[in-house]
Amino acid sequence: MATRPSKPLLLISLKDTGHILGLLSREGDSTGPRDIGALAPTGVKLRAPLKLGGTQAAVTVPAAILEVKLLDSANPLVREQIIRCPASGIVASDGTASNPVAGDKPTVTFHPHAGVIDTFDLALTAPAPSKGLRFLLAIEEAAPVANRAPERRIVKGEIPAGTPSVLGVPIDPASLQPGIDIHLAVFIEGRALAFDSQTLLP
Amino acid sequence: MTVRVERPTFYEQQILGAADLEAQVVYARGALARHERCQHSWGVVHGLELTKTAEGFSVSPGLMVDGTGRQIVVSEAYTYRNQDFVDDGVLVQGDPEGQWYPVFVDGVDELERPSPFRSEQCAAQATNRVAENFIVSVGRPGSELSEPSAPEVGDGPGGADGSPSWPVLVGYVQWNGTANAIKAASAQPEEGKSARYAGVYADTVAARGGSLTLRTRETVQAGKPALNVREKDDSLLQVGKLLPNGSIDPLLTLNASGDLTVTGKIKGMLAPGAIVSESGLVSDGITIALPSGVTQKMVDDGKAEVKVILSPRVDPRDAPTLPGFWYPNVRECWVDPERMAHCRVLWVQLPPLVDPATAVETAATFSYLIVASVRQD
Repeated sequence: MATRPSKPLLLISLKDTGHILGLLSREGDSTGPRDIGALAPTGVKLRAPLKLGGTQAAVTVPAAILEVKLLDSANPLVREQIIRCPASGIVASDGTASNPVAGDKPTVTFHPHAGVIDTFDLALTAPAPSKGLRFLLAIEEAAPVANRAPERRIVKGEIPAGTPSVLGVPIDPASLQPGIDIHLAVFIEGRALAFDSQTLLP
Repeated sequence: MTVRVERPTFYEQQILGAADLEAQVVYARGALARHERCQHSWGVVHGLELTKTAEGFSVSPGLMVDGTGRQIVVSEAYTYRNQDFVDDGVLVQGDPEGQWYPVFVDGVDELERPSPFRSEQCAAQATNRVAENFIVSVGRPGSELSEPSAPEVGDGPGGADGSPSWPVLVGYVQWNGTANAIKAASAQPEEGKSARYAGVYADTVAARGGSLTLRTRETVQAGKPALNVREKDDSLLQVGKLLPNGSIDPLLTLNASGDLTVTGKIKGMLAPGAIVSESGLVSDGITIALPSGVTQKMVDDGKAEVKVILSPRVDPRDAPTLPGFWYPNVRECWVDPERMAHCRVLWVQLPPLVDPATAVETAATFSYLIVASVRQD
């Protein structure tokens, strides 16, 4: 059985929701560097678990919405899980890490208006707690035309307290064309990261 | 020739007037002020600490020297009341809670009232005593950043009746708008905000006992940083943390042979030919940071060469949680030119519970070794 290192972990996480996207440890200089420019200068490309014969969902999360946190005293089991699957954990503002709430996979439904996809609904099955639930949606075009960067959108918002969903969240800029295939990464505060792939319907 | 400094002198049978005696006092005060101003930087010399109290805040007894070289003595604790803060008009509507307001002490002369029982003063309102008093005031945030004009080199101390004084920053206070009271008082509430402390202008500082110490606090406080130049124990220089007995627990030592010993790591520019390495774990999609001392600019400019080895680090515990025996197949284990790690493992279920639909490729965390060598020019 492999020996797990006990050095602190540098966690790359989302500023808004605390979701961990990746990690780096350093045996010699275990507490640095702490700037996102050194660990994810162009952002983090997240790839969903891929079933045999399936389509790879991948979303690039830009560096501007990421931060680096030092995890040096996590519960050993949580630490173990983060090393095994970094994207399964959530790190709090004080640097502690925890497991997200399992289950309750979110559903995202896009809506067209005037020829473009300009809003979406985000729904859970259980209502949000009293302080609401912050969320961040990363949208990326799955198959862009050759030599053109994929369309990407980052949308932030909040599911209001006591309700299981938020409706009509605007996408800015509202220029996603119906018919294109997209990948989604849905980050909801305290919940497990969820991936999805869809074709935007007119 | 303009005479800026005039010293009184006397001769036998001279009839001394008040002006002659006053000139003696002025000369002595001027000489002291010039010393204080030109050999020291102005500020708090001793005491004058702020403490929040129920009435407001207090300034403890102490001594300071202002920018004119005037010594100001606060002989008893002074209380600045909450109502003073309101009456002085410090607050402005819209000030955020938690704002730090600077607290100043000014030295001022106050002429004492002449005695009504002295016949020679019947026709004059002159006095024969001046009280060297002080004023405590609270200013608007930012007012501590401006400084009065420096006096001419020959000038005496300021603060005389009718002349401007020189406020000295002794700390900061916070106001609680709900309770209408001082909320906190501190000499150094946060980085970049600090009482102004007196210093010294010196090109030579010489010890007499063979050991010279610089420390950051007035008294010995264990754990605080200090620097010691010394003649004993074969160590010329020590930098470290103070122990309760005033000696230093060294973090850096330079001995008489020129050997430098540090208990931590030396970071910064590396010498040509130096080779540095770093190792650890990295997860899929993360850039492997350069070893300490190597910058991206050095790499871009061709002054440092970097090699990275990424090794699969597959642990049976990383297998899917479904029952059965799982076989790991490393699908991606490489580092791109930007040093981003690509770490993917395909887990396949082996007989007897084989179900191709359960095979799954996941992001993984691998081990890395990065080595950087600095080019020798």
